[in-house]
Amino acid sequence: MRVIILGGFLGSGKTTALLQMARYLVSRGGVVIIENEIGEVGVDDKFLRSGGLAVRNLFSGCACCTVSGDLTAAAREIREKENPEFLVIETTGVAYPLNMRENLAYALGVESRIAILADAARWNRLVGTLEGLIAGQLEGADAVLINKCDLSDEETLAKIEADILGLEPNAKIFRVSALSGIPDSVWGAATGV
Amino acid sequence: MREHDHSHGHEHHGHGQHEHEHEHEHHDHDHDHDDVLRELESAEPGVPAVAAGEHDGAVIISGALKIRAEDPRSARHRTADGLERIAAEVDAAGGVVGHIKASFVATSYDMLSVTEAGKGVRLARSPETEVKIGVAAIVFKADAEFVKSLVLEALQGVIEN
Repeated sequence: MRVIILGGFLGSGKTTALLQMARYLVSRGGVVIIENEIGEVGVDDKFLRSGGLAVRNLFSGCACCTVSGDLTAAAREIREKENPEFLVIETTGVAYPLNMRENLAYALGVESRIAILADAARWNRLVGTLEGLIAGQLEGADAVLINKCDLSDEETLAKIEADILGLEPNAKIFRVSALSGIPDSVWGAATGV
Repeated sequence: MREHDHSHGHEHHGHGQHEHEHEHEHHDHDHDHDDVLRELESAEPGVPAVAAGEHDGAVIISGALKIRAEDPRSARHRTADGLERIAAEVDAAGGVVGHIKASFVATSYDMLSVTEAGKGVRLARSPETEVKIGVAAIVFKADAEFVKSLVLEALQGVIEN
């Protein structure tokens, strides 16, 4: 079971991208999704299920901290009972994916790949007001997909890339528009699959 | 591993009859979230239920509403308008919108029946559609009570007069 953590700030397009990533992965093996939502009411899980995907919920807390035990328990159960080729974890928009990777490695001995969505349209405002959170979410990222590129100009995108590389120098960076469709070549590079 | 302030608490306001507060401990999930969800989902039809919480500096508001609507598209428009109003009010108050999302599930009932071969199939359609709305609003730099009141107003605005 290969684990892919899909993270990024609220509204960055994680769920829209996840639908496309799941389609890419399904053609290469079985996929189970853990959907973590921090509120009491699930919204994204209903949307993903309506697309025919196998989704496990983690509500009411963040899987990088308050419900980290629930995450490792769910991942262990999925591995034992279903053992899909791919387990995709969509984080809450306030999660620190590196914490989740470390927790999963410690509890289950699995390596995870981290792909982060960055919101090009709101990048400057978010970095200006929530820098610690945005920076923390990029920590350990294997790939960063700068989403909503169609809403930003070249100068802004170049600055975002520089900001990201300043925070996580090892990340591969891709410019995408999830609404227009993310090419398989990007998913291949981002997921390592 | 990163260290963050993961303080996390919530209070729930059902339909004006129930109120409680509690705090959660880090890495401890044997608490009452299931109860809160059940209360949100079991609120009386036509009565919005809203719960508020905070996490790591974010205000988290969950809302739920069940209604019967003659025109679900109109209810969906009112839901969308409500989300926009929440965002505008948060913005005007100097808050930062993380996301404001809603699920909108509309279920209508059709009945098809046959009583005699060759006489066709009778179709009966229920006059109203059952609509379930769930709202998740996550904002920063805003007061939880203020945002909760905005979500409540948005859900009340969905109800047909």
